[in-house]
Amino acid sequence: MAAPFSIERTVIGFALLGLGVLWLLANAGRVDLLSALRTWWPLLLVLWGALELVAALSRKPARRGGS
Amino acid sequence: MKASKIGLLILVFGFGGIVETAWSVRQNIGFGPQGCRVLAGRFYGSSFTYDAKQTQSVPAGAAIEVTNAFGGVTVRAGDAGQVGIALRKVVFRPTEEQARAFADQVRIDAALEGNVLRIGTNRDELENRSESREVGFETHFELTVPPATAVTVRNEHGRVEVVDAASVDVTSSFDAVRVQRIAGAARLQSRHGDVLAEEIGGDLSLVARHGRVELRDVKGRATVDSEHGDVSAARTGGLVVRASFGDVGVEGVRGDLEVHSQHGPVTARDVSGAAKIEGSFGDARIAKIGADLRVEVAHGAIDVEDASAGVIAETSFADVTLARVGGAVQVKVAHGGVTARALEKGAQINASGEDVTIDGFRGEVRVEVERGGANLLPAGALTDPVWASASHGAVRLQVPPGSRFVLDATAQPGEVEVDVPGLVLTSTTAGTAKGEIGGGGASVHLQARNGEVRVQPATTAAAKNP
Repeated sequence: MAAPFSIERTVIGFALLGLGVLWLLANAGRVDLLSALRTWWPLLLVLWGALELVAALSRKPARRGGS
Repeated sequence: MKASKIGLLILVFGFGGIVETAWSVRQNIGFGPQGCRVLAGRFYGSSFTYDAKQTQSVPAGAAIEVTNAFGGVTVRAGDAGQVGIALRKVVFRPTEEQARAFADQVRIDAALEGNVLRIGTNRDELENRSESREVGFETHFELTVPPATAVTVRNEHGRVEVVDAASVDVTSSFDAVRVQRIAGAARLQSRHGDVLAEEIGGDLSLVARHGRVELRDVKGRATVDSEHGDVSAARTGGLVVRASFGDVGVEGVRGDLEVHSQHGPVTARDVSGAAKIEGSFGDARIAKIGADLRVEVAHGAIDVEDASAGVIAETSFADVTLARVGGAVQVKVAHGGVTARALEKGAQINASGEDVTIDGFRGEVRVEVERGGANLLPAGALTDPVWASASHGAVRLQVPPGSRFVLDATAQPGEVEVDVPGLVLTSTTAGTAKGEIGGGGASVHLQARNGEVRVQPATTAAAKNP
């Protein structure tokens, strides 16, 4: 049975994925790790907020249908 | 909101905070082939040294002005008619290749403007470039100038040394300044560095902050303004010292001495002229003064020896000690006593809280003591007026042979004891005694309030109190 969708897990997943990719690129000499992190870390908040909005909107029709 | 979401939110903001902090201090922290750099600035890690030299012809009598930063400046006398400029460049870069590439851009700027040769580097230009702003590099000048050249140096973060010049004007910070064998005037300003000025032929003006000052063999008049550092001066002309938060030591002044000191002791010795010393929160020790001496100290002791002329001393919360004073003495002490020996021209002393003792005096003496006693021993036959008053203490006078005076002694309440051979008492009552010795003469008035008055022969007293 598949685990229910979790926003927290999704955010952590994207964060780890992004951090790993950045670190890899930094080690390969393609990007400046600190500069990239400093620029893109607020994207975590944006991503999280977007996921929360999607979750809230997807729950509303279900409630209407049940009443 | 669920606890897991709150935890995740804290985690995200914590991560962001760490990244932003690391970004802010990124120039001062680094890990790599240069080692671990922690808040070390740009002058850190591997460095490479390169030399550049050039010679500049100058007309006779030309002055030299050197402007530099982050490196030392040394100026010495060389051949006539030309200035030798040696520049040592120290570049902080990870590799020799990078360092050499940068060092090639650092050049000597030397231009003759009128009768002044201005020497410097293109540091400002390099530091204004974005690609070289973070590169640390030092520029050390070694100059040889024609004999008898006037030298001006403006330097920061580097040692300055000028030897054998006609005159010198140095402004320096964050390292030491040393000027020696200057024929004429010297003007020095230093911050955060020690200063040595030696063998100065003319006047010296020195302003120093946060560093030790040392003067030796200054023929002209010297003025020193020092804060947060000790001042030491030896063999100078007339000397004025303004100092705070440091010791002042002066020896061998040919002329007058003036010292204004705060929060530090003052020591002065062998001054041919007059001396005026003002201080606070530090003792003043003065010896061998050729003319009048005036010492005013708050919260510090005064010790004077071998003063040829008059002495005026004033202090509080400490004692005054005088020895061998050739002129008149005036002393005021609040909350302290006075001990004096060999006063040749009398004394006027006011003290409180401690005793006043004069061992060997000539001339008129006037002593007033609150909450203390007075002990008086003339140096020879007592023939001059004496007025002594003490409250809550005894007045004791020792009378040498051959003395001539009229005595008026009072102790209220207290006891008067007079036991001197030849002293005839003309009136005695409880607590008073009047009389004369040697046929009378000067007035000797002794008064004690809440204490005794005792008049004894000098020899007896000396035997009792060897």
